[in-house]
Amino acid sequence: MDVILSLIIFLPLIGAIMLLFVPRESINTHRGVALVSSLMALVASLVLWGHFNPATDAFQFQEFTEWFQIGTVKIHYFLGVDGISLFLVILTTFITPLAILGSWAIRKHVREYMIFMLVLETGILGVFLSLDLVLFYLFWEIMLIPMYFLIGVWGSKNRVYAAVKFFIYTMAGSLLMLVGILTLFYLHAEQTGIQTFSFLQLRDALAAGELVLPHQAELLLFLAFGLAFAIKVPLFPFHTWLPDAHVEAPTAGSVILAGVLLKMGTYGLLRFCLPLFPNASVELAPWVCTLAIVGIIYGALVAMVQPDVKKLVAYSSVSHLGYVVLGIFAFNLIGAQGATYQMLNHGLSTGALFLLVGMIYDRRHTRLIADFGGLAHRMPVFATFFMIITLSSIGLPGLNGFVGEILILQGAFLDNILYGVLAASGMILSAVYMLWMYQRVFLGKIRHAENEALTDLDLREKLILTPIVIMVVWMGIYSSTFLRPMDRSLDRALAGVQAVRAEDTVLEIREARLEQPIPAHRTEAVPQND
Amino acid sequence: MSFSNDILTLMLFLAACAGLVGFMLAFSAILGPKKQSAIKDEPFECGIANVTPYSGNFSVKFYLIALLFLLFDIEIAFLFPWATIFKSLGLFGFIEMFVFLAVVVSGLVYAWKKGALEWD
Amino acid sequence: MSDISFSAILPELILCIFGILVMVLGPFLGRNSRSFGGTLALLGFATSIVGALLVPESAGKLFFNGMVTTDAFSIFFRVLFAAIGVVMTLGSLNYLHRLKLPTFEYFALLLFASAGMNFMVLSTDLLLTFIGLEILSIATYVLAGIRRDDAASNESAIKYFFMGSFSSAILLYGVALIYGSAHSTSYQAILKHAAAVNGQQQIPLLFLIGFGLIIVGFCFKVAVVPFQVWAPDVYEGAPTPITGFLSVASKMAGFAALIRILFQVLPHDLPQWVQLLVVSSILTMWIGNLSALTQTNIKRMLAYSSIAHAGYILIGIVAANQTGITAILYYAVAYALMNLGAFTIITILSGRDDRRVTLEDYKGIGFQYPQLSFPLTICLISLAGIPTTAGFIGKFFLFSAAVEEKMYLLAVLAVLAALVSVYYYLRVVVYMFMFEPDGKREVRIHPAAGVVVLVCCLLIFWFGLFPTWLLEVSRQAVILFLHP
Repeated sequence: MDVILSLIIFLPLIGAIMLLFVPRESINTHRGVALVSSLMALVASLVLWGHFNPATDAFQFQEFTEWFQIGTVKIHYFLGVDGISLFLVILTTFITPLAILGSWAIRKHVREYMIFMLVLETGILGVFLSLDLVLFYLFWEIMLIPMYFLIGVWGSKNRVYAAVKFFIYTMAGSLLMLVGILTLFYLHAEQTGIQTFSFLQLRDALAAGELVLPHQAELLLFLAFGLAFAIKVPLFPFHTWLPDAHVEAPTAGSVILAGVLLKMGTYGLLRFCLPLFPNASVELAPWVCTLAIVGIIYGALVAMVQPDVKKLVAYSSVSHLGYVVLGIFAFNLIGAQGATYQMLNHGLSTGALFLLVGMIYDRRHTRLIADFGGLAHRMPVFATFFMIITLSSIGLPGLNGFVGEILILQGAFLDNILYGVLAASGMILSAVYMLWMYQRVFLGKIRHAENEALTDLDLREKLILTPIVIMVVWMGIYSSTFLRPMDRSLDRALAGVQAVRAEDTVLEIREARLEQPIPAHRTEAVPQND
Repeated sequence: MSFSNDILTLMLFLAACAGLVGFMLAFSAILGPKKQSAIKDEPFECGIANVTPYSGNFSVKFYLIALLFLLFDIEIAFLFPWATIFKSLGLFGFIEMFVFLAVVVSGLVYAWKKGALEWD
Repeated sequence: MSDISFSAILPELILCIFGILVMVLGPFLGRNSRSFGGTLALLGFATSIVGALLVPESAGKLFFNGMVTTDAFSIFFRVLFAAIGVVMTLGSLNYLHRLKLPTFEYFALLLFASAGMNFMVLSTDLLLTFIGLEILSIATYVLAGIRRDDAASNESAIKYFFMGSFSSAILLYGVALIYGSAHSTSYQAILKHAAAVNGQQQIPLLFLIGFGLIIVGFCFKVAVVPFQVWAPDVYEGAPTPITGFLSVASKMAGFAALIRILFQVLPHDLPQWVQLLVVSSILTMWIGNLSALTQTNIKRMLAYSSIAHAGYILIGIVAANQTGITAILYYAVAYALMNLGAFTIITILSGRDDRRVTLEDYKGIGFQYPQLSFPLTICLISLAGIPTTAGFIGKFFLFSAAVEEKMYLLAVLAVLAALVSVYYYLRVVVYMFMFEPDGKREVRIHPAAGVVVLVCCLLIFWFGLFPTWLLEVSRQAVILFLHP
């Protein structure tokens, strides 16, 4: 169990390296090796879940070794898992085999395709499990390369533009984050004399007041980190890469992109921005929440008018991820629970939607809503799966989406009633565009002759969708399986911002009582009051 | 401060130079009479009209020989300072000069073998 | 006379002897024994590595009347230059054969150039530095024009010759002014003079201008803005392996000599040059990267990219802390690996007449020649500074050196410049993998070049994932600059 996290991260990579030595022609071997190694990662992550202790907010299964150093500056290979990252890891290892299984339609350069898929999985898992900021940055960037190739080589018509745009956008954010990481490092080293890139040490130093960030520096650092995450989420107005990338990517690429990659952004906000920069988070929360709500409504409205099913799903992601950000920046446990839960939901349901769109695209080579209609007559199984996933996506009670959305809305209402009201309106819109799309694609009469000959799902495709549907129902009915292990970790992640909030309240009360502003520094005000 | 003062002086000096040159060029261009004629455009050769084309062809061999001569001539010039302090350098200097000459000779051997010394 | 120690310049003696040997033997052996020249050159470079490692390291002691040092810094670069020589020899064997170029002269000049670079890094006297620079320059002028029947190569050589002579003249003028001020060209004497002068109210203008001119001379050599305009034309026209050599070896030699002068000769509290170099660094990164964006010729693109990389290296110089200078040495190795790797691949792909170097020629070769396209991708990704490659570690520490000195603006501008560079590096990848090929073409990979490509790629990853050893070696090599 000592190295289980490394095992989870590197099992896919080992598979990728093995693939290098498989001859080019044996396509089935490529598929087999890729599937098996990603399944092994899934098994390993399930074992991890089995041994996970939900009663603590500490990072578990930590691995800590020196990686490299220059002079006295040491960079560590530092991994650890807590309640937040646990489920994102499982989501990743769960979605990837399904995505691989869903890419049987790829016939061009299968070996390279599978290698990139597996390297991508390694990169994503590394992001969720790294506790050293440099290691985190390394994995964060690493996953760009395979995704870039997946979009650019195996994508559809406009793939090059989408691939480059995706790469440049993400890199722009992350390079500024790199400067942020370095600045944080040197500020910490200057004030405490300890040179470390360890997230835990930095967080604790900030919490204990050993490291005090000047107000302006904290704002800039928050923006440096936040921009990288906001682009990844993507938060409105940084979302423009997303429709391009999602639409042009091959099915499995979209699945991973929507299912897992976007969560790296929201994960980053929750994991790094809130605990490291609580003052800035609280100060800028209204802005972030506004952007999130704009994203929710804008994404839903744009999705509504899309003629292309895949683009519709892509814009629905902008809307859904807006909820997640809103939940995080509500700064209460319910909101954060909902946000984390919604990350998993979105991964499942949007991943499944992209898989479903891919299945119909493989048959008809079109994704335009106008080209379909009445598919339910010819493909009843397909239509059923699509219905379940659609309902999960719009948050029907009893399915997973409902739990996440209701928790986020509760959190939002607690924070600010206006946020809650606006966000709730987004739920209505999502029901509108999803159901309207469903109606136009599946119901009614068959209008196009090509659709008469469509065949229903085969065994492999059913095999892909069944586990997702099981999870969708499970997460909808018995959410505490997933929510309970998160609680302690989320509490810990929110501790910083809640303390700042509490201080603000205390200050407001005191100000009201004294009827004059208190000139003392904010951090000194609390001990005086006690 | 002294540093920037010096730079300032230098800059002023440069500006004055540039100004003066610019002034002279500009005024001669503006004030000077301009009369074009065919004779003025002819290549100038001591007042006598050209009899042969002004760009004759020389065999590249001339350049080669000239270059080689220059090279070895300059190398040999190193022998003079060596000779003046030969006594104080002793045996070491003696051997050192032979090493130097060996290097020069190897260059000669290369040039010879390459055919640089043959006219045809 | 007691400080004459031939073991102190053993690698240089080896290089010169092998150089003369290759040159003189060439005409005797004739055209039938082409590969013999390469073998001999390889032997020369390999022996020179061994020689450099055998040189006793003595930081304080100087040889040859205070002209030669054998400190760790010089040994680091001597080994690096000899290793570059090995890579160059292996990488260009087949190229010379393919283009029917004079093999013996090529390798002899390469050996002499390498000796010149060595003298630049081991010298502690401005005159010896200058002589080393000239040995390097004259050899590379000829190498750039070694394709005598090719107009572009001629243009490149002539341009390089004129700009090189110009910069040498500026440098020499600087040396003369310093001599006029300090009455010596030895680094020790100049430092002593500078320290004495520094106490006075007024630093002599002569001294400052002398240093300014020397820095400008080196800036020409390493192609730093505003002295970079010659580089693209020269790099584009020169034979492809030589372009690699110019962009890596002679640039690194220039930087090494510049670092020694800035940190060993200039007193530390004479910081006038820092502000100028900060501006120059920013301009170099931005102009280099922005100009590279629109290039369709890969050699020209990499020429601009190498200008930009000079800008990154300048960050380490202006930060002037341990992290920065260590990172420069690390980056020198990383940059040599990725750029030489890339140029070796470009050489292999350049075709019969060295003309297939435009982006169009790279269309669709990705899956046709994966054994070339993937290594090229690795080199380009490393140049772009994506993690797990050596290029990332180098940039990481260069940027962190800037942040350590609180030069936040410089760091931010640097990362944004790096972002710009990603676009054009990826463009090559786009052409290779995301466009359909125009048809099959014959590409033969000579085993020697293949080995070079493989080793470069493996080392890029090795130093990218486990950089501790190289970082430590680099740190040991620069320690004397920081604790005088």
